[in-house]
Amino acid sequence: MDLRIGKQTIPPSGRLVMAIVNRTPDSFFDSGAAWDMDDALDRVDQVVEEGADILDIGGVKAGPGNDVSVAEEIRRVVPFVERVRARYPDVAISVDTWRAEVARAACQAGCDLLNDTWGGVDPQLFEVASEFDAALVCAHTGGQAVRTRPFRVEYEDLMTDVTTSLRRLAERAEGHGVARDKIIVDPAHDFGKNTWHSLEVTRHLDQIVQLGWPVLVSVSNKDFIGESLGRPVPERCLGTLAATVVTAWLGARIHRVHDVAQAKEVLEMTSVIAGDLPPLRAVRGLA
Amino acid sequence: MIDTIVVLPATPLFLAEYRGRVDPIEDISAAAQSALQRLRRPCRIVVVTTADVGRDRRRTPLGARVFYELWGSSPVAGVSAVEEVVVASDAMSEACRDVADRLWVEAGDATGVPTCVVLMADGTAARSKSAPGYFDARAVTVDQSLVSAIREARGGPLLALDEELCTELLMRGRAALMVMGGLLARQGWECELLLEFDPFGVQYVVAVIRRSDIAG
Repeated sequence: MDLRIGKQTIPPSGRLVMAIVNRTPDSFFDSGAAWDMDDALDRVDQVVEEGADILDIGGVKAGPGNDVSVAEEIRRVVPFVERVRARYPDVAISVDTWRAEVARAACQAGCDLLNDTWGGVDPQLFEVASEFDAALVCAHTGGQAVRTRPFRVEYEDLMTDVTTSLRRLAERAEGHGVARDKIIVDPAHDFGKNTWHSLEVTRHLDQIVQLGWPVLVSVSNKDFIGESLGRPVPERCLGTLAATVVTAWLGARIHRVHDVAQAKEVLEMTSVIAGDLPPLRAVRGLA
Repeated sequence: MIDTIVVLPATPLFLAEYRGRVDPIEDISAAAQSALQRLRRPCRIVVVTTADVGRDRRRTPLGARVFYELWGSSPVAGVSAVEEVVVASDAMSEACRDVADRLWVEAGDATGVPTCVVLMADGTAARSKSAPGYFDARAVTVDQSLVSAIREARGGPLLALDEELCTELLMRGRAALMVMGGLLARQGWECELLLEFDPFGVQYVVAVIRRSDIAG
């Protein structure tokens, strides 16, 4: 199934990079590097130059931290979306939010995709996506409360829980009028999951792909990579790239990342290996 | 009557099945297309290739597949027929001359329509350290002789190519070039050399050679 995001129609063989742009002072990876408006625009310029297909703008740190009101989240995100929309009319813009009020304001400012990482906790979000014909990410959190960390979470059967939950969310979105080719599912690594869980959804990603909706993965620099390799946050790039390749090979179509240039290159190589893209320039043995 | 001989590279880089996102032989493709567009019409075409070597031979020799790829991407109106002649890769000078004689006679018998012989052949593949055959100083000398013979439309040097040396230097079209030598030796010709180029350490030549009594 083709996927539509903003002005883009992406065939099933397409592998997209979604660049993380945090308009937060406290996100785990960049610690507020794009908190300032100018710094954030610089970050956007950089990732667009590096080939990002989608910009994912977030105004609230995913993990625990200071409360951020709806008004404050809108203040952080919406004017920035307007600036980015004006600067890059053709680049797809995503907003990472679980709140319908924020989503509505973002869509009015030009947002194309709502990245609801917290799994549909605000039922109005589906209606906003439908009203603005925006694409929507449906994520599995195992019922984890917004902005909390998993604590002794267990699943009787993780993959059944993930696939059942994602199917239910996606069908709910369709029921609210979100176009089928604008629905994306995300197993949400580390959300409501320990490292073993995140590794299992990575290993069995094909089961999520088989649901039929395009799959987004957000593995970039996450704790399951750090714990797998014994690496602190700044040293998780290679692990991230390995997980990116594996998930791409198993069928993930959107990869939400911090390091865009590296992700683009490994995804390009994956596409070439998969036969979805010819080599750039093949001469060896053929001259 | 054979009135034109065209020399084209037989590199698989022309084939769609091996094409990447960037064309590494854009200039060579353009020259090859240009050569085919210069054929006099109407005519019949005889494509002369050398049989493939190695264990993974396909039913249609590489040179013929390359020709049809070029032909298919830019067909020329007014061509009545395309025929193939495959020369054994180990054919010696005498056998190649016999093929040339047979082509000459058959073209003479073909009533009315002139014949164009398209030779699919390359020079050596040992012209640089990055070449398929690495660098061999002898390659330059052999190719110089080959290119001058084509430029001057002289058959003698082609018929005198050293089979063993050409094999060592990975000159895959040697037998076809010897057939051309046999044709050139029969009468006067004039050559328009469109390209000589060795971007990967392989000598490519694109040329259009016409009978001097009707050239111009």
